[in-house]
Amino acid sequence: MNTPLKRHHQGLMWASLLTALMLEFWHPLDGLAARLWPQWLMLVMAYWIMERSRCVSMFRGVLFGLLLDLGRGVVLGQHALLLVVGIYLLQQTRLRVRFYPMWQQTAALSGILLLQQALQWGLYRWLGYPAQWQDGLWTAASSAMLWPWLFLLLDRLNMWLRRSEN
Amino acid sequence: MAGRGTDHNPLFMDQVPGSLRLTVWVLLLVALMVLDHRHHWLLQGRALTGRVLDPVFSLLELPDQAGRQLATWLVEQQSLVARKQQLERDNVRLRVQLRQWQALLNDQQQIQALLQPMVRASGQLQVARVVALNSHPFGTRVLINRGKAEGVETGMAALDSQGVAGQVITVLPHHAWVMLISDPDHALPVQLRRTGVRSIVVGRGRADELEAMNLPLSADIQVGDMLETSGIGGRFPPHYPVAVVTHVQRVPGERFAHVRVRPLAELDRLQFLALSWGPEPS
Repeated sequence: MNTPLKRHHQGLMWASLLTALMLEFWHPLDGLAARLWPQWLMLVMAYWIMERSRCVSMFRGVLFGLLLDLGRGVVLGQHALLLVVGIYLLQQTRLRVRFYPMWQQTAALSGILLLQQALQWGLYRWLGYPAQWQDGLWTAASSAMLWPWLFLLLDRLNMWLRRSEN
Repeated sequence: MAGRGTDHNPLFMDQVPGSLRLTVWVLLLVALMVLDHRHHWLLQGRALTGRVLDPVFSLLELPDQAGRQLATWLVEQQSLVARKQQLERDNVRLRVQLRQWQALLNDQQQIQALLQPMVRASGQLQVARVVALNSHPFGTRVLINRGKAEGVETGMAALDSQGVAGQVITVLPHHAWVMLISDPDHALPVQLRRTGVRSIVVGRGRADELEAMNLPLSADIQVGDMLETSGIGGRFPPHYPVAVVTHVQRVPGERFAHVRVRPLAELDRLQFLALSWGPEPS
């Protein structure tokens, strides 16, 4: 678990995290797509935590979260807080969740995603925005639906890179 | 390469339990949010960190710009000719109007010079395009494609063709953040055009509805009244249209009336913003 990552792992991890960050920035302004836009960064981070718990630390979560806050023009620390909480919960449960069948894994992750959405709802209310709790449900649901596919995609890429290196 | 996976956490040693680390991070981040929200101490720091983001924004803009160019390229010749004729007609009409406005402006400036010796002539307008990738969750802050290099400064008023849209809050080298009047953090001094009663328009996080504060129950307000900038505070040019009153509710016993207004600027589909200084640059 504590062995350092291979070079291809590092490359794939950074590429996927940066892609997720870009996708977060490309959040559509309105319409159905805006409601259903998944939490890309959290999902990609979740994959890497399950793969190697050490490669996404809370520190990295804070770093990416702050970048997201700056890029989206929201109050500093908002996304960072949500990511840190999510990363902590995943790190605590990863040893069990990792070996669950996919549907159970998705359910466990949904719990964490829902908690994040609830936190975000509270934060928006505190800041004075007319946040709707239903919106959080939509986002969490679409993120959970995406999870198995994202997991498969990243896992395939990971295995393919490993094989091509050997 | 060796040890790359373990030296990622410069602040805490590995022995520190996760729950403690979480608590410390949460406390730090909550403190950061409170400071950023309440005191805006970090706005300057944000501009500095934003310098890192500026090239990222330019990069993210590329697909949108490519699409825009492709669309321009694909426009048919015929529609271009028709458009040219239309623009020529408009041009003549606008030139005539401009003459009239200039005459009016001269008169007005003379009157203002008599009334208010301190009023500064409105400076040059800087026009910026709203960057499409803006993804503020409630759309109350937008990114524009002009920054420090083009002369944009913090505190400039942002106007669209219909009315006041917001003000510049953070300036990066080639981009700037504009806080729209619909943001809950935004307050704009206004007056009723018909009666001159003063008020403050505050955002509620919605593009189609703002709130006019501090209007006494007895104040003469009707649905349909026009609100314009009062120029108090010096940030915004005076007498620029802001919003129309849509809803007035007077609850007996309360000090102020509940007044809802609809902004004239199309805050949810802004494309271009004109930036200008108010009467007194800060």
